[in-house]
Amino acid sequence: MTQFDKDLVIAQARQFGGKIPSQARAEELAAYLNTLIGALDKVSTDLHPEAEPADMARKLEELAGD
Amino acid sequence: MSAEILNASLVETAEAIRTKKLSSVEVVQAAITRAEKLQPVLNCFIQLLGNEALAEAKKADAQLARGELRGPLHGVPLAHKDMYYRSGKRSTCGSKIRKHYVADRDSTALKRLLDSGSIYLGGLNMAEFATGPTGHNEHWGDTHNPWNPDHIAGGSSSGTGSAVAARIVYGGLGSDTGGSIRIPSSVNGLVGLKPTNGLISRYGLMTLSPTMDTVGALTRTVADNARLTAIMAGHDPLDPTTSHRAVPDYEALLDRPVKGLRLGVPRNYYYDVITPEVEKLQQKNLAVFRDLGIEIIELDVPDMHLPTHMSNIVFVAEAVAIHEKWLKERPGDYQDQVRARYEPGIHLPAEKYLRALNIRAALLHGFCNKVFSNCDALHTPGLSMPVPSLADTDVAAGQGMSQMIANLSWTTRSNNYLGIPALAVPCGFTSNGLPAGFQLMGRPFSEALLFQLGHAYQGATSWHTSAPEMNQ
Repeated sequence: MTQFDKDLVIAQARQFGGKIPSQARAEELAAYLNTLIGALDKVSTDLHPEAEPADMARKLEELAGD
Repeated sequence: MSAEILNASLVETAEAIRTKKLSSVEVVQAAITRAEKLQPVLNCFIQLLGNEALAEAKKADAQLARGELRGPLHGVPLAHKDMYYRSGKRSTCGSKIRKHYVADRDSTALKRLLDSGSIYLGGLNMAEFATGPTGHNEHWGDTHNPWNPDHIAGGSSSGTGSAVAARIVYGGLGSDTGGSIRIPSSVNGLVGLKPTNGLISRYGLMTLSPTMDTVGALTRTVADNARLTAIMAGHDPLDPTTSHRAVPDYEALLDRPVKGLRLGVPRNYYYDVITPEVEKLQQKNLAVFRDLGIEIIELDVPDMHLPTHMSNIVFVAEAVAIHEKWLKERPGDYQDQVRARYEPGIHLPAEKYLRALNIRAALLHGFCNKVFSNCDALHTPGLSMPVPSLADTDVAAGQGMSQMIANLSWTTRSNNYLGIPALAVPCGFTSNGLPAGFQLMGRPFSEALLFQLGHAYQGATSWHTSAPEMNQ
């Protein structure tokens, strides 16, 4: 799993261009990204990935109800 | 007379024009007068196109005089979030970057409303690039709430919320990627539908997150919303993600009996950050449903933090993909808060984004199985707190931004990832004199049921007839 820290965030931001985050902002961003990715790992562990967007469209139709 | 005209519902006004009790010119002129009067206070318009609207109203009256009825919105003025394209016309998306952007195509949703006879009164203020739940906008000025101009009009469809609640227009388009129709509906005392993903075409609008963007209307009554939704819904060859399902006649289904329907009330998540005052209002409106013969069932829902986090992954990845060039070349032309919302997407690995997409159907399946096997629709709070002031939510990109956004969109964000519909309905006022609302969620494509429930509630209550004092 990718673990973000402020140094990685700043290095990537430099590569991307535009506005470079401050140290404090980079730390905040790293924490936020780690939270999102942690949640993704938690929720997707037992799920079988399907091809999108077809699977979602099919599921919406399948589960449709009034 | 002008106030009386504009206090009527959209359905009533369309009928008055059709039967020639009112002319379209009278109605449109009243709307222009009201808009000009209130714009200095509310700042709800980016483009007020009075002359164009009056010319269209004259045409509409002439057509009707010849016996030609264009459709169920003949001659009715509407105004829309300034991100729906009209070919050859300006569409700012509430931004500095697109201040002079001229569209090269017509939005399908807007075109369907215009083809049904509605009159385009103007483009409404909004959060920059449809990003933000409060209605702050450094480029075009903040939008204000007509119930108290010191308070937020919500976002990102802030101008639509403000203009419809202020009785300038009868309804208008918003867009909802994480709550941007439902939040302004709640804070302005309106009805707002976030439709099932795929019900209404997204062709011809400034996208934010192609996976989660939805198009819908804000109105004062459920019946008005049912009419606009029916006009816009249905397959569009220009947007292949739209469903081929037949669109129900939502208005004709509004009065179906609700007795015996089951309304689920979540035990977990949705009440986690609610204030006691707003919770009390939820209990009161649930009592109304109970009196209508609806069974109230308490139930556990899946951990909604997870789809909320997944929606954030999809949002930041897709927003950065769309804004990459401008973020690199014109970062100073974004509000700090908006740029900060996109920033995580610069760093998010592509495989994480794709995994969040590829488990979406499985999470939808799990949610529907757990919730809708026990009830017909789920009832949740709208906003979890009394409507905050503009000053209290002016956090720019500093500390507290993430929490403020999370709290304002607590009950709304996961729907866009899961793709299911949700209807915001007003249900009273908190002690600060501002509106509160609830939200009804259903299975995919269950809009008819949500409208039916919301309409039954509005039939038993009168919150939707209350107008802000500035308009009386």
